[in-house]
Amino acid sequence: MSLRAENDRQIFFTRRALVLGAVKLGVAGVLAGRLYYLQVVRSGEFVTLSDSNRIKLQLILPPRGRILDRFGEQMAYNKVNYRCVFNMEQGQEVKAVISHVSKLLEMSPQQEAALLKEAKALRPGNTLLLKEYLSWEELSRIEVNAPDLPSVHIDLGQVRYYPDYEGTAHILGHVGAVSEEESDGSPLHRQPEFRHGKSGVEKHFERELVGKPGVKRVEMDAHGLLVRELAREESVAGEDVTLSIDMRLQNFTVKRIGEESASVVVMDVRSGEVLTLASMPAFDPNRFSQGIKPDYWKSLLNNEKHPLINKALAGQYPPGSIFKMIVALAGLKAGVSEHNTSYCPGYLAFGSHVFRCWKKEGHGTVDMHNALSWSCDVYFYQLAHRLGVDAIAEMARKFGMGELTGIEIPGEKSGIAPTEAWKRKRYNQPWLGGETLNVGIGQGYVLVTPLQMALMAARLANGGYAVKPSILKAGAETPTEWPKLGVPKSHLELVQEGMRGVMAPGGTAHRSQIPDEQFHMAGKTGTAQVVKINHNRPKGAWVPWNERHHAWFVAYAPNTTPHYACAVLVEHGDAGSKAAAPIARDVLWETQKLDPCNRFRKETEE
Amino acid sequence: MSASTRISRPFGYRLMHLHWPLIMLIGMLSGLGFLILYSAAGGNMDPWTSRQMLRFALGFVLMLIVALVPLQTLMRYAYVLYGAAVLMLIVVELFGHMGMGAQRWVKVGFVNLQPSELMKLCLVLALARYFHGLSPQEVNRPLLLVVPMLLIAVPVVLILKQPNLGTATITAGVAVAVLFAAGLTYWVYIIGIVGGAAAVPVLYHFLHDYQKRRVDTFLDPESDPLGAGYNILQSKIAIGSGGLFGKGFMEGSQSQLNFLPEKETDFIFTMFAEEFGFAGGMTVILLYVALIGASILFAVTSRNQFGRLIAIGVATMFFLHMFINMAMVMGLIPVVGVPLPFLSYGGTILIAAMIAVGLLLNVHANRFLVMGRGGL
Repeated sequence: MSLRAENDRQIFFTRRALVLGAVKLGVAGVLAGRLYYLQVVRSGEFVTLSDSNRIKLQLILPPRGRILDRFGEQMAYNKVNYRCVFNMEQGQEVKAVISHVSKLLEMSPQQEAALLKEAKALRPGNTLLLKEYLSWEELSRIEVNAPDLPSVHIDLGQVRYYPDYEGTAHILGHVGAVSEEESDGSPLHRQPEFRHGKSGVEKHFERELVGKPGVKRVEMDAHGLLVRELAREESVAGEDVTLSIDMRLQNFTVKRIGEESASVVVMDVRSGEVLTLASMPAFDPNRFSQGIKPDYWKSLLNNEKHPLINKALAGQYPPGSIFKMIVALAGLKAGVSEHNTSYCPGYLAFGSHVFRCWKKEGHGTVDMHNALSWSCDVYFYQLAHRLGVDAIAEMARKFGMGELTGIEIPGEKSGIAPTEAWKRKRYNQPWLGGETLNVGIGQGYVLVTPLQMALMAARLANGGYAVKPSILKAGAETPTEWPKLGVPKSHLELVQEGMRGVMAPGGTAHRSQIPDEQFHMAGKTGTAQVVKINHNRPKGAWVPWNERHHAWFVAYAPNTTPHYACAVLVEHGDAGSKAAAPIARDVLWETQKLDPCNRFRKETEE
Repeated sequence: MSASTRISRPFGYRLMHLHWPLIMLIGMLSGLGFLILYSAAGGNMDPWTSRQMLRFALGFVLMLIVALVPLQTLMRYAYVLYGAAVLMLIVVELFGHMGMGAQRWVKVGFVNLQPSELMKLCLVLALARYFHGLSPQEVNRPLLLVVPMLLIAVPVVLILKQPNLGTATITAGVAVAVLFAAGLTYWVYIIGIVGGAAAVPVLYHFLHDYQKRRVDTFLDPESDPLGAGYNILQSKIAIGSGGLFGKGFMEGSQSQLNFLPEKETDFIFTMFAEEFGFAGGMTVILLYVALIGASILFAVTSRNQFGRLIAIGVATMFFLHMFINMAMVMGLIPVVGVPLPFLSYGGTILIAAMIAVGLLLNVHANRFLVMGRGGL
């Protein structure tokens, strides 16, 4: 090739090379422009996105407030929950870890299989809860083997704990995870570890107990692993709630009830404070907050003594003879003299029916005082017939029947104080005269709860004040003077006299009087029929448990200057004098012995 | 000046007269690479920086060797080298290790070799030699174009089969640039562009599923932010949040907390731009522009067509790497796995880039050499 041709070729090449270079420079300019657009023009937007990538807000659960008894004894508090957690990392062999841990913690093959199933969906950075509520022994087994379990660690959570679970379950209730229907959509409710009150005081005082969640800003990497904490706003613990319950008395009562299916309520007749509210048998709320096991749940459901029902305020029973005070007061109000007498031959013929007295041979001639002390049915059949059901219902309402007492425990039932109008509305049937007779002895349509009976006893004992029961320790808001019931003091004194007669020789419960004279109580037995009285049944014959009568006893003490009222119900206890009165005696005795004033007096005497 | 007189210069003289500013430029780019790889490892020399430095040293030696070999020798062995590279590609096709779902590596001693990276350079050499012997008029004779078309088609098809769309694109692009510089008429390009546009739907049909997904994601990145679009979205967030001066060395939250995938290889520029900001990103772009500018300068100042074509080919290769990589991480084009030479971690690409620089240095050193059409 000639030099000239070679020169031409170079010029030609240079032209084309410069075209290429210009294109490249232009493209480089586009890249620089794009970089400028991303890093300068839209930078703010991307800074926000970058921060939301790495910075996550985490809620700090507030410690739940404690529940204390009147003396500051802990009834419910928070314990550390040791949780065994597996943290998935890149290239980790999950199966081996799970089988190792399940061997250490002695898990069942089903539990292990369930964990393995969950582990399948596990991605690096995820965590898997292997086991909660580790015992000290399990905890130490994990710690000892820590070198072989690199991705397993112990996480500290909180668990609600009830030290006296046996006796307090029905007062305190239990806590549990927030279900979808319960959730208010707040961040706190969306925390899987958050527990809120599901029943009892835990539910009623949720707002006080819950506290305020804190927040921490943490930096996380792309796998969700914590890098560092950036900022922290501490949570505020929930308030402590102080109850009116005296744990020593509550525990005493529960022990005294023993294996019976029973309820006992003790309240202060002046302040309305409930010192003891027992419903037995009960359940273990600790097992509820730890996730209830199916077989435990089934055993609770199948128990014929209904451990899940709070009998003290949701159990509705006919009051039987303890209702006679109300009938007597209604009679006095209607102008019946306490000196009026009835003759009791052991039965009362009414229309085509025969209404029997509990005493087959009859009480003979009885006045109001003896009718109460001996619990003569015939006297009250006649009195009720004379009064009519509406007058009785009016008096029953004054003493708190037929409506909620308003105690701060959810699930209360109102019972029934029947009237003619009530029956027409409820059954669309007219009231029958014979039904009034039944109401006269606290049977028929009348239904009450043990709490209502304790309230009745308190209002009878305090001189006719409309005290209201409360589970909270009396504070500044508690009225010192309740409104009057509008029942003359003289009427109340007559009924109180009758209740003292019950404890006197010849009375239905004279054997159950408290031996210590300064603590003497006044009371009334009651036996509520579950099935009709059958005098044909041989005396002492065996009756199936669930066909036996409910035993009632209401009382107050000391009998001269009443301070405490008590109601005892023993389901299928057969007779109030046999099953309920001795419990009331022991509980009221203990109540007065524990009374700080009495203890002080005793100590100075000694 | 005859060829033999230049070759007979002493070794020291030739070493001294290499274009050292260019070597310094390469050193700066590589230095930035070591720095950012150190940050990518969370402030550790291992696993990336130390090995990258070792490869740089090896590449540096190879660069000098390639720079000091007589240009005529390169011309003589151009076809042989081309043949060897094609052979290696075939070996990879037959026995290659599976890596990242594609057959790209073959183990040679201690290095996992990616022959496709070397193929680009060998193709440039072969085309340069072929067109060195043709005048601009001859270039447009269809019959004489058969051989270069075959030279291009064989490796491109082999690389596409691996499959490695990025490298195949660069290989083809480099070849197109060399043909253009050699004098191929504009008409061919116009026909090529029109034909190519018409072929897009057909080509799309032949793409692998993962490649189709990438194109789809590119066209609508918000459609699947946690799936295939995740990488690009995170990359844009990383670059954008870097701002004017960056988050600081080892302070890039997107990279350090692993929101950014493959930060040490394909997304190295993203990481650099996050930690050093617009200032840092522009520095890299300008260093590249300088490298490409120098290559074009070497091309137009060379007195022999062989050297000119090599320089323009190498310039185009660096340009395409820069463009595809940066445009991809900034969300301008679909995700195509192409590394950024000197910055991305990877043995073959760094060594291939150093060899390419060696070629540039050689072209520059022999810029006054005049070679006949026969060349030898």
